[in-house]
Amino acid sequence: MNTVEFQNVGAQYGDKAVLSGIELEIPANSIYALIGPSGCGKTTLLRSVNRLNDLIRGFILTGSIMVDGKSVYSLKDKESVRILRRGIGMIFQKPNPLPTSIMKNMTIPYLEHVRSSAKEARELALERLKLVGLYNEIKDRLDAPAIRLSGGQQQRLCIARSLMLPSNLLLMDEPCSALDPISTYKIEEILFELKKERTIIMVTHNIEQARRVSDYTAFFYNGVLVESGATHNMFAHPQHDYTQKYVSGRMIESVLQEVHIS
Amino acid sequence: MKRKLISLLLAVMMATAMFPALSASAADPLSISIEIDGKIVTPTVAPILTEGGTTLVQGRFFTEYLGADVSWNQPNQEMTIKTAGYTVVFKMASRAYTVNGVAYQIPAAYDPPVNTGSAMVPMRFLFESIGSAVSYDTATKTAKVSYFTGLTGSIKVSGSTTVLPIMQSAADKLMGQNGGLSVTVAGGGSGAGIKDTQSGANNVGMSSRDLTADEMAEITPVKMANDAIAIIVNPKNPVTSLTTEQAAKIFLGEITNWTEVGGNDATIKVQTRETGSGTLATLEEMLLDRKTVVEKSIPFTSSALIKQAVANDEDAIGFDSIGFVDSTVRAVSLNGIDASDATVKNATYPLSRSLYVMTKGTAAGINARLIDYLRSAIVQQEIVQKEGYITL
Amino acid sequence: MMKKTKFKFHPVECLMRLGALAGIVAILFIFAFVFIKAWPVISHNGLGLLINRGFDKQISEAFYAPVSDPMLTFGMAGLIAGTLVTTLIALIFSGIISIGSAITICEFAPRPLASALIAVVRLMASIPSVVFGLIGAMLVVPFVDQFITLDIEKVVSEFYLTGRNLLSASIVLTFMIAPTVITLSVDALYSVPDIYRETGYAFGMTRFRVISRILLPSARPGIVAGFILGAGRGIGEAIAVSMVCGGLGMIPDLKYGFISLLTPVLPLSAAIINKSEAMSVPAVESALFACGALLLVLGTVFSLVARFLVKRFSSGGLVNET
Repeated sequence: MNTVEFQNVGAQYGDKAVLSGIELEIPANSIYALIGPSGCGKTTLLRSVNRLNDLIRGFILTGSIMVDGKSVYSLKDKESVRILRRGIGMIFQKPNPLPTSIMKNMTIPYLEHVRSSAKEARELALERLKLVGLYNEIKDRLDAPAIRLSGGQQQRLCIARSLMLPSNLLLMDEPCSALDPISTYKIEEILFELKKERTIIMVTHNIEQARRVSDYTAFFYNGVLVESGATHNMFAHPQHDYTQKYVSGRMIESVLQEVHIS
Repeated sequence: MKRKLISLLLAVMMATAMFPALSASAADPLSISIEIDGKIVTPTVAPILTEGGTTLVQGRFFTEYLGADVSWNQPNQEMTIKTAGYTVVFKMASRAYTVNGVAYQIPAAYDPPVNTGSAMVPMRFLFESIGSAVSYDTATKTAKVSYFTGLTGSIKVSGSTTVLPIMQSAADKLMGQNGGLSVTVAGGGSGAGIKDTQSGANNVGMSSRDLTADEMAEITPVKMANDAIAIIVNPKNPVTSLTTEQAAKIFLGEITNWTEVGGNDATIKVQTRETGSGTLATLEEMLLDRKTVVEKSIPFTSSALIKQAVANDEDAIGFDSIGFVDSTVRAVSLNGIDASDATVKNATYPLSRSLYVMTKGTAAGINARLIDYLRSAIVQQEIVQKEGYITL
Repeated sequence: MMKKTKFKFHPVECLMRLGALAGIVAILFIFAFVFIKAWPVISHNGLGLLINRGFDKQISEAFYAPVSDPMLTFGMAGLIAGTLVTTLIALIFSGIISIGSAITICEFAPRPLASALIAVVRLMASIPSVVFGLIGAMLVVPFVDQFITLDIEKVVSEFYLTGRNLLSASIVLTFMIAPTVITLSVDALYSVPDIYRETGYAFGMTRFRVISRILLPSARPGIVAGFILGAGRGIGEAIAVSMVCGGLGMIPDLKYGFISLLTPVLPLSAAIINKSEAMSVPAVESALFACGALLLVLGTVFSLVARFLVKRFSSGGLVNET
């Protein structure tokens, strides 16, 4: 299934509201792009899916987020939350390999949760590295420090790493914003491959990227969902004036300030 | 001697009680201050002014203050004052006196010494006879004596490391009040000190042992302090006395259990001082016949630490300068003799000895003055006692 | 480029270079001075200085030797062992204490408590060592003394067992090293980017696992640096250790097992303090300078090794799994 459903989701940090009334359904095996200007709340929404925002003091979420029909925020004990997180891969804006070797980056999360031998873990790691097309580039230096890889390689390593656990849902927070066009292209290629078996929610600032890779797009604006739907439809016929301006790249900051959550 | 003094005192008291007029006519109490080296010194008997206008002061008090040995001959009514450099004899009611055997005469303008229960000597001649001078400030009614000030020259001192700490502190203090004086102090041990004195390599030698008759032929030793080592145990330890033989065997590691000397069944834990400690050297010399303390003993860097260790451990035995022993530890008696000021001063306590300074022939000049200083009330109280030695 | 700047006079730069030069000259001078003073003993003993034992007795013999025939034979193996073993044990103790404290401060304590704890720790790092020595002599020594029972006493015959021993020295040293290690570990943990934490949590790891598998390994260069500084202090610390170490320069004997923790030691630095009373004898003076020279060499070797280790660890990996 791999579906995610946001039902009347609101979120606040302390008494500062960042999201309200979000209703959104993410279909299985699709790439869903969340777009919108900085501070519109799309990242908060993304990080709520695996409850990573719990780490931030004062974070409150209202409404409910359903993953495969189960309410994420109804999970009471910590272990359930951890099980949830294991099933959801997360790619951060900045590549985040741990300060250790490439191979250990791959095996640490796997061996953390799966009873398995180091050999099995290694084999799976090699398979995942091949999947993201990194294997041929780094097969000679699997034990070299991961931070010596280029930014694009690091990000692909992180994607491969997130695939070590059986996760059918991937959360990506601007995965290509720190990368050059060629690296970005390679990652987009991977996304198409991954989509076959997984659902991907991707926050991006790159409108062109959203147009290229996503099946669906949701446009957020100051904490509210302005418009969502099939990407080609939305880019061709935006329903809302702001959407139209944003996707055409004509929305400037001064205009943004005038809009308020209604 | 003390008894003689008391009887003398009693006699004088009776005499003055019977003839009040006589004592009044002989002398009046005088309100002058006597300042020695910049410090007002108050004697036990106030100075008096005779009818003839002579100021008489308490001979014994002032010269002892300056480090002299004073003795009294009752039949002859003579007071002998011995400093390092001078031997002076004053006869009561007589103007004749001797300095180092040479006869001198107090001029007729002055009244002679008088015995008022204490031998009162004309102030000027008392101080001048031991090589000092007196000036009188009429405005403040103060007589000023300079004895350990205004000294110039240099003195070389060497010898016993036991005496060395006292000598060094005293020399520092003396140099502090005499800009032109330089005293260099070196160790080397008593033997070296005596040899150096004989050869003239030092001006003043230091020794922690008595000199032999041969050595005495050339050298004049002057006793300047007593040294004694107490063998200390924990106050809870039932052993209160040891023979010197037992004590030596304990420190040499030949007796290892307290039962062997009448104590509890427990290992004797010997505590010692670090090599180089004067106290350890003295113990090894006097008790252990120059052998070293058993190797497995725990060494301490200071007197206070070894005492603390003994105070904290029921099975411990240690040693310390007798002056440092307090109620936290117990000094055992040796051969039945308690360690006390008295047994040390009369040399009956086995681990006691006298400390000497010495010069070739009779001391003179600044050398004599340094020796007097060591024996003076100032050094005895402020240095000898504080360093853990026993005063004269 | 050099030519261009050569004729320009920068007073501040000149001053700074002069300062740096003065520092180097001072260090060279210290090395030269110590080695010249130590030379009689070093040249007389050669490598035997590092291998042979019996320092306590040798000092005593040297002290009583006649001036004309000085005794220069010394063996410092016991002192070197004392230095290394006390420092090692103290590092192990302070490792446990420090990493635990640092994690508590960084990960568990609420902010106000954390900053209060850090302030206390930094204050502890600035306490003069003689104070640690006094506390050691008054609290640690009697405490350790309690462990010495009659049965244990019977095991060891070469010397008396007292509260002044390897364990006490290590404990006192631990409390002197720990603040440095804690401070640097806290700094290192605080400087681990938040993203590493999030990475761990996003993988569904528990808090404990995030700390042990991700935070600690990531902070390792800083923590290792803390240990190195701590070890430097441990090797060089003299006063406090001399007050509690027992003062006998022997190699802790492994045949006694844990009891060897209760035997006296004499690290090099403490030897300089303890034996200084006998320093009026030139041979003893030279021997103590030889102790100083060994400390300098040990310190230099240690800092080189440390440099190498830091390089290794800053690029190295997380701990092995399974």
